[in-house]
Amino acid sequence: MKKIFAPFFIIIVSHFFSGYAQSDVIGQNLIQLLEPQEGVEVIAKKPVIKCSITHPFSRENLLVILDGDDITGVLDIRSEGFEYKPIRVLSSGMHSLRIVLYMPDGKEVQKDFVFSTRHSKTFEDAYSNNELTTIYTSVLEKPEDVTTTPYSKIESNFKSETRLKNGHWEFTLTTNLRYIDQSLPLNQPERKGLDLINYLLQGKYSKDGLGILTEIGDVQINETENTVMGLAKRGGNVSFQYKDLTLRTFLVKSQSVFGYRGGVRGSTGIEGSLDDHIMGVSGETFFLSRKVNLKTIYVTGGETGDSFGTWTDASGRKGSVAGFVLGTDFFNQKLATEAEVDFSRFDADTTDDFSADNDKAYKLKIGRTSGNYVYEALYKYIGPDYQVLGNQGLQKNTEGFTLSGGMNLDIHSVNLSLSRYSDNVEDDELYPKVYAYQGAINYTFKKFQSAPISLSYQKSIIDSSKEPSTITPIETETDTITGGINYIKDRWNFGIQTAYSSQNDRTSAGNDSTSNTYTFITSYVMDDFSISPGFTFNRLRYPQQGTRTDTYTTNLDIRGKAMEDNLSYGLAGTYNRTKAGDGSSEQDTINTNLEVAYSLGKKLFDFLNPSAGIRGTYNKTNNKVSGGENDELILLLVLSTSMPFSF
Amino acid sequence: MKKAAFFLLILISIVFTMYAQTAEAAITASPSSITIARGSQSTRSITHNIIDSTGCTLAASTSGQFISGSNTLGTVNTPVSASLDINTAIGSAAESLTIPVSVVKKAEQLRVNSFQFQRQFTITGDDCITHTDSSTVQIRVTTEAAAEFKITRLQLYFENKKAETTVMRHQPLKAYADISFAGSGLLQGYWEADGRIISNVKTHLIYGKSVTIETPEIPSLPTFQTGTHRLRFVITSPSGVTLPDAIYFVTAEEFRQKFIINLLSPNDKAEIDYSPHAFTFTWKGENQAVAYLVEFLEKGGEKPIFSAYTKNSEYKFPLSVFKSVFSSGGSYFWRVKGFDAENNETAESNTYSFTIKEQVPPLPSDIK
Repeated sequence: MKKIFAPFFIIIVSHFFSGYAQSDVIGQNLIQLLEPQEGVEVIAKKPVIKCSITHPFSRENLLVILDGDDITGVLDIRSEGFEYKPIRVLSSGMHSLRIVLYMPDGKEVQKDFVFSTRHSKTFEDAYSNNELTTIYTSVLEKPEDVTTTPYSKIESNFKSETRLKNGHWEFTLTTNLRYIDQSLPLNQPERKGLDLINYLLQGKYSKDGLGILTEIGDVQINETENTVMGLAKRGGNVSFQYKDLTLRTFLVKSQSVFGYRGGVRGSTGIEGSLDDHIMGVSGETFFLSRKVNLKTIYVTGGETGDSFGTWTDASGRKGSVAGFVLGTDFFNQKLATEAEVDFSRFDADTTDDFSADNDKAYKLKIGRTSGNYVYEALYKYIGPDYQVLGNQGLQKNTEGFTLSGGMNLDIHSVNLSLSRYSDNVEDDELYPKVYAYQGAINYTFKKFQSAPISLSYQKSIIDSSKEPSTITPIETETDTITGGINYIKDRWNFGIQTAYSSQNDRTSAGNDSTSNTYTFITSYVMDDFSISPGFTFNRLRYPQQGTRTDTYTTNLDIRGKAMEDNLSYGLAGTYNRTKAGDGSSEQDTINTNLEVAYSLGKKLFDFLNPSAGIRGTYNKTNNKVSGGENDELILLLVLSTSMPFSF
Repeated sequence: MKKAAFFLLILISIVFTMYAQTAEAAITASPSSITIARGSQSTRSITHNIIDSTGCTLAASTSGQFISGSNTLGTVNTPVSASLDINTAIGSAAESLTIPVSVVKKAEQLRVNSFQFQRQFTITGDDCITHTDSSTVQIRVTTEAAAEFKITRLQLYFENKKAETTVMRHQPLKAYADISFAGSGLLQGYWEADGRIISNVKTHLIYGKSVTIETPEIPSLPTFQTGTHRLRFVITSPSGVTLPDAIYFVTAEEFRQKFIINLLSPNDKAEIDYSPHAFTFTWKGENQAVAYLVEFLEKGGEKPIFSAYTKNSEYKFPLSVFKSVFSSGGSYFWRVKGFDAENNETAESNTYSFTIKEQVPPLPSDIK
């Protein structure tokens, strides 16, 4: 071994040093960085880089690497050197530039330079992308009985995204500020005048493994399914991270809000009592080279009524939950485990005399989450009174397991799942026990990349037992089959999908139903024109009643540009027809929106893009049973402008 | 005779009055029985149908009660009333009956799973004798799985998880509806944007899992008109849902649709020899792109380990870069982005993977 490697090592070392010395001496003569000057900090986002090369060269015998990116192919090659204007913004900080010249004799001449950039004098990194849209509409034509369309309306939206970074600090602000006024009252939750529709102000600090994030505005909180999941509300959030430890606390307004509500303090979402706010803390730490993690969560608060975008049957509610999660991943996602136990205290109606109920939930999950083969086994128990504010769609009073697996091969992809769940987990004799069994298989055939085929089948059985005398037994079987093929070729997209589902009520009630849906969609997309027609047919059948209802839906979307992109047009129309087999109902509806706009100029005064156009709405309803028929055509004059500006 | 006739008249009057008092009115509730889920508040639409032949014109009730035997579980203080048609003697009073959690809890405390809701109507009029009658709804309580098919929660949101978003003109947009429900049954509804049906939804919901319904790719949500737009998921069956709105605003700024770059070679999941000469990456791009960025990533990596800009539709590795970046036996991914003359990112490709074949170590006999 020594005989082999010792001379080899000497050759390598001597070659390295001779090359280095050669590069250093010759390179200083041949290659020079003109702009930016070496070692100098320049204030620019895309600084022009200029180099002189005093030896004849071409692109083929040159290699230029900027921060690890090969930029040789996009250099502006000149006889005395090259120039490069970055395509993307260079991040603030140090930059390395390596230039390698391959000489005709086979030698390489290499020279390395460093320079640094910052985006502004005050901040290393600073940008603000803004856009102001203003739209004015005025009625040209509308029927007198149409009372929901205002004769005139003005809307203006200011969208802004700003980022500042200096040292270890970074701040970002995203927001939409909107002004609306019209000749009719606005529907809730919109309000006339100026309104701060949304905002998110973030501050970050990071240094030596320490990270701090503070957010205020429209935040989103995710912890676990049994505690907080997908909670997008207005409020504040602070997280602290040091190496393998993460701590977080948040406080948000329970009700989702649109716009600026409750003054400066109220609009932050962090002022008020826990009757209408949700507060939480969580901590997570990793052990054993991040193979084991432990997480604890505590969330408390209250909520009243509906929110913007949400309807619920529930009244005022209040509750808290404490959760504990232990996860392991010793085999690089090939066998990961997660165990969670949660304890809740929830009052489903704060107006009554009953106090909150205590309950618990737990789950155990084992699975492989990476690679071509994945599998998962999940067992979960959720008590009859287990509810949380942070995930109100969570199903309670259930116990059971799911086994699922999938494989993703070259041209085949298959996913299987089997589950068995039951309710009435405490076997209360007042109620029946309902078992839900479900099996599903999804298959995708990918041999033809431009035409993947997918099929799925799902069978569900709902079966009750131990029914008290007052409760009617239930036994329902549901079969669902779906299939689809999409053919995508260049600008064309053809898709055929079909879905069949049948629900078989096996009790004496015989409340069966079946649904057949056939969908055909197609689209043709060019640079300045696209058209997307679609057709859907659905037949619903209720065998016991001997009735059926057919629904035909035809859609057409067209959009395009003409006259050197100065004229833009769009149309979206739907024809919908429903007809009952027994003739009890038959109705046709047509809804169409269209717009034609002409650009009055682009980048006027460097930033103004005004346009004028016509907007139309045509609606027609024809009830062939009752004989009611009405149609309406509304035409509006539209003046709009876009004003993007960045700095 | 006169006396006899007088007594007969009085007798007839008494009989008639008694008949009128006993058979004057009948009130039935529709539906006459409902099944609700325990543990949460339930709301149902109830219609009280009144038939009265006494000539009264108004039936009114100031309150109703939830009762189980002699126990009162709760009271509803919402008044309802119905005008009675003088010709048909028929009237109906509709109400949205809310059954609070506390009523169900009191029933559970009494260990009963069935109770009644009763409303007493006072029937009056100018030419009739005021009298009373009651309407009864039988309420059965069961678990959520066995309850009547009802929507209990509907939440609309966009990709930002909020019911409000701002998008650019012609920007693709998707919306979602999270639906919680009790029981199992056929959901019928449709997505509606600014009053126009986008797509119909008719699907069986089976108790045991939450359901998220999303807007289709085609037809997409309209974003060609600037300004405010309202989106709803209209549920036509089962009934009883107050439909929330979601709002999206389309700005006049044009969305730049990214064009697709097709990767040509090497094929996806190709195995390549450890040699820079074997490494020529080619693709087919759009005419708009004046520069391309080829990115190479390691498995599971988010940031590229090496990138290269080029104006051509191919890239060959310089020897020095190849040796310093790739290792024999390694698995990597590659993708391409396209930029227009104003350096806007206008095109992108899928991500392909490739594996570099293991280098066979030289045998000792090969080394001289």
